Order: sequence, then C-alpha cells, then structure tokens
Amino acid sequence: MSALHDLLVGPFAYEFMRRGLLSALILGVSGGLLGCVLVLRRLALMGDALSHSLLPGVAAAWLLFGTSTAALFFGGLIAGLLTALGSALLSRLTRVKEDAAFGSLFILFFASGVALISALPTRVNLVDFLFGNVLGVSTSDLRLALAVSGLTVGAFVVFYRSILLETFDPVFNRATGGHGGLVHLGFLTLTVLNLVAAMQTMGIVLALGLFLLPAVSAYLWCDRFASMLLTSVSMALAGSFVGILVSFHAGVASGAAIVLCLGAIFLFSALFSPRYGAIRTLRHGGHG
Amino acid sequence: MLLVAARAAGGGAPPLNVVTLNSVLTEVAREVGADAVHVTGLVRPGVDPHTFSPTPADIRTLADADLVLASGLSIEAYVDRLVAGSVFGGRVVRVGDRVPLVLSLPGRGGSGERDPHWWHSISNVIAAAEIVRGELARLRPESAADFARNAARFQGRLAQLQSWAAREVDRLPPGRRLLVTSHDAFGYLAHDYGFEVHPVNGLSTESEADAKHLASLVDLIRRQKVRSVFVESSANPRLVENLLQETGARMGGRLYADGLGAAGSGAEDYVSMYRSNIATIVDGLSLP
Repeated sequence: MSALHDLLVGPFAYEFMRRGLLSALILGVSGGLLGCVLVLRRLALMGDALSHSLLPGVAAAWLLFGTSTAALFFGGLIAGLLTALGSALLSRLTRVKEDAAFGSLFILFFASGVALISALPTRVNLVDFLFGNVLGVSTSDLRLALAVSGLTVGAFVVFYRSILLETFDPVFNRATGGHGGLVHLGFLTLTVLNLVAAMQTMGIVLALGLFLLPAVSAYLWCDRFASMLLTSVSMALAGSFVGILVSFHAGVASGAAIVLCLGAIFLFSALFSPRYGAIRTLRHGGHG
Repeated sequence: MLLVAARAAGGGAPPLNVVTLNSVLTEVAREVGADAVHVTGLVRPGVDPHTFSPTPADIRTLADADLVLASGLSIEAYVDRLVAGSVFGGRVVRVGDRVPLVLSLPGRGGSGERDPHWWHSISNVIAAAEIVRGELARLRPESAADFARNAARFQGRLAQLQSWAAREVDRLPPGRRLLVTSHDAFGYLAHDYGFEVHPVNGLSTESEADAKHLASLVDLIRRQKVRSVFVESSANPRLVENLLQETGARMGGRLYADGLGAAGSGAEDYVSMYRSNIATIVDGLSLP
C-alpha cells in the first residue's frame, strides 16, 4: 500500500510536479481535441512546421520588450498566425495547395528568425525562451494554459456541428451555405494559440506530442467523430500522468517521457487495433 | 589605418592580428600583447559560447588572423570543422587543452568527458597568460621582452585576485559551501574553494532536467538549509524560479558562467567578473 503511495502519490508532494502535471492535463484536453481535426484534415505536420515559424516573432518581441512571458507569447502568436492564416489565404487565392503554402511560409519565417537572431547584439539563448519545460511551469503559465484550453473546449462545444461538417466534407459544407472558410480560419487560430501556449509552457517535444499522438492513436480505434475526440483526450490525459511519473522515478527528461508514453499507446494501437491495426491487415489482407 | 596608428605608436612592424573565441582570452591577449597586437573577439561578452556559430564575416576574420585563440576542451565544435576545411591561415591554439587543471565530469559513467569552463580557476588563467605570451613571442621575437613584462603584470593582478577570493570564501563555513546553479559551469571554482556543485541542468546550456533530479535538489536545499540559488547570465531562469518557490530559498543573483559580462554589466573584465561571482556567492550563502 505504501509502495503504491510512493509510486503514484508521493511524487506530487512537490509543487513543480503538481504544476507540471496540471499543465500537461489542461493542454492535453485541447491538444487531444484539436489533434483529431488535424489528423482527419491531413494537417498533422502543421504543428511541426509552426514551431519553426515562431522564431522571428519571438526574436522581435525579445528585441523590443525583453524576456517578459507575455511579450514572447504574443510575438510567437503573431508569427504563428501570419504563417497559418497566410498559407490558408495563399491556398485559396493561388494555385498552391495548403500544405505547400504552409511549408513555404514556415521556412521563410524560420529563416527570418535565424537572420534576426544572428543580427542581435547579444545572443541570449532564445530557443531556451521560446521552448519551456514542463517542470518549469509558473502560475502565470498555468493561467495561460487554462484560458487557451477553456477557449478551445468552448469552441468545440458551441461549433461542434460546423467543425464536424468542415472536417469530413468541406466541399459539401460550403455548397450548403456553411461558413467553411470561417470555421477553417477559426480552427487554425485555435491551433496556433494552443501550440504557442504549449510550447512556451512545456517545450516543443511535449507540445507536438500532445497535439498528434493521442489523436492518431484514437483514429485507429474509433469510427465516430465524438468517440474519437473522447478517446484522444483520455489518451492524452493518461499518457501525461504516466509519463511524468516515469520521469520522476526513472530520471528521464519529463517532456520526452510523456511523449514516449503517448508513443507507446500509438504503437500498440497501430499493431493491435482490432479493425485498423497492422496485425489484422497482415492476417486478413487489405483494410477491414 | 591601424597600420599607421601602430607605426605612429612607435612599433616598427604592424600589430599582430589575434582573433579570440572566448571573451576571457580576448582580455588575456590584449593584456599580454598590448600595442603589439590587434585583438578581435568574435564571441562577444554576454554571448553563450555553447551556441555561438561564426558568420561568413567571422570566418573571413579567422582566415586573416596570425593567431587564433580558442577555449578548447571541445566547447567550440565548429573550430575542428574550420581546421579540417583549412580555413585558417595562421596558427590555432586551443588554450584550454594546455592549461594545468582540467577537470573531468563526475557522474558521466567515467566517459572522460572534460569540463570546458577552465577559466573559472584563476591558476588556469595565469597559465593561459603564459601560453599566450609564448605564442606571441614566437610570432614576434623582437617584442618578447615586452610580452613577458605585460604577462607578469597581468599575472600579478590575478595572484592578488586569487588571495582576495580565498579570503572571501573563508568567511563561509564549509557546511555552507553548496552551489545550486542553473547549469554545471562552476566545477573549477568549486574545486579551488571546496564547494559542492548541484546544477539544475547539465553541463551545456542545452541539456534538459528531469523530475527525479529536480526533486532531489528540492530535498537537498531543504535538508541542508541552502540559503540561495544562483542563475547564470545567459540562461533561462524558469526552472530555478520554481525551485525557489518550492523551497523558500532566495535568488542569490546572477553568475557569469560562460565568459565576461556585456558592457555596463559590472563584469566587463576578468577581475571584475570573478569578483562579482565570488561576492554574489559568498553574500548569498552567508545569509542568516
């Protein structure tokens, strides 16, 4: 009994553990939700691309306002929004598809970030300020995470039907007078907001992991959108809890430990999912 | 123009062109070489040498140098690549590879990895002045006597600094010589004055902490009643701030870990940098 207590409860006697877990759980909820839409819309690599595009915004904010958390957050947010909304706009106004537009814009932003940083008079390690650590979460970080996650859950509740339609059949949605473009832009804005908050509080590895792995895992088990959302969020929460404990007991970097737990869930799902797993496909041939 | 200035100053030959990759070595070269050298410090004070990488203009400066002084001990990975590409016209001296005291890192499985922050032992800087004197005398034998005189004067100041620092640290009872800092850069200082170092992060400013390690630090600070925890001038203080909140220890102030401070920081030269570090540590740890 006491061994179980030491294993599961003892670590949370430390406040940094409670805050780290809380921030992972809070952003795990919104990440689990947004991730599902990203996976279904084939925008799974958007997070990765976005993380690079934040650099010039953060560098400019640092140059103008120093290392205040709020300034760096808004700097990153503006750069991220310009990339996301810019590529959405490019894909609608030109022949270029959205993924190519995204790829082009993010590398452009990344390069301007590198150029800007190399021209800065003193080179504090900006990447360090750009990407947080789940063990270094402060009270203001938690507040930010809660606000962003709350906004995301609220948007999913209120606009559930529009999100569902836009995710599965954007052409139909537009043909029947739905505000597809608007929903899409709103969704991109939410994603950027969440990713910037998550990167700054928890680090890039964990942020990207939380936004992708639970959603792909859930995709392997679920057919209905609603159950996929619930499964994804549950997996994000479970992975965060187990991962931070692994980090505590085994002495592994915390963000990486949580991502590895989420990754284990994903690999298990990819192999053993009864309908969409690799083993089933190999035994029966073709997708079920 | 420089040439004219040097001639006007009375020297026959143009000044030797010395380029340094470490702000401490910039000062050593200026002190020892005086009028007979023109020193360019590529890694400016306040910049983190772990993350510095040279621009094309920097490389041209390196190629034109008569003598390049590098920190050595593998802190500048790019130097090896530049040497392999035979970028340098003159001689490259990795000063750290030749100083008398080189510490290896504890707790790394005896991998023999060396701690690159050698300049935090004053004896090493005294030796560095000797190494630089030898190199300059080889390049410009006719000024050898000047270099020897300059080096001796500089070394005299360092010896004074050494006895001042020893007196200051003597004010701290041995039980209080516990140094908790954001990254592991003070092994040499600890070695010279009998401190125990407990870094939050690893040796480089880029390695990441894990929960187990952070928890053991919290326990240590509480058990030993450590009064103050220190951060480095070029690191993100987030993790340390959490540590302070959790334990009630105070922020002891900023230490200069990876070279001299920027202009106006009060640590622009080696002696004031070292005095600032020692004063910050002794004041912070001797709090009631």
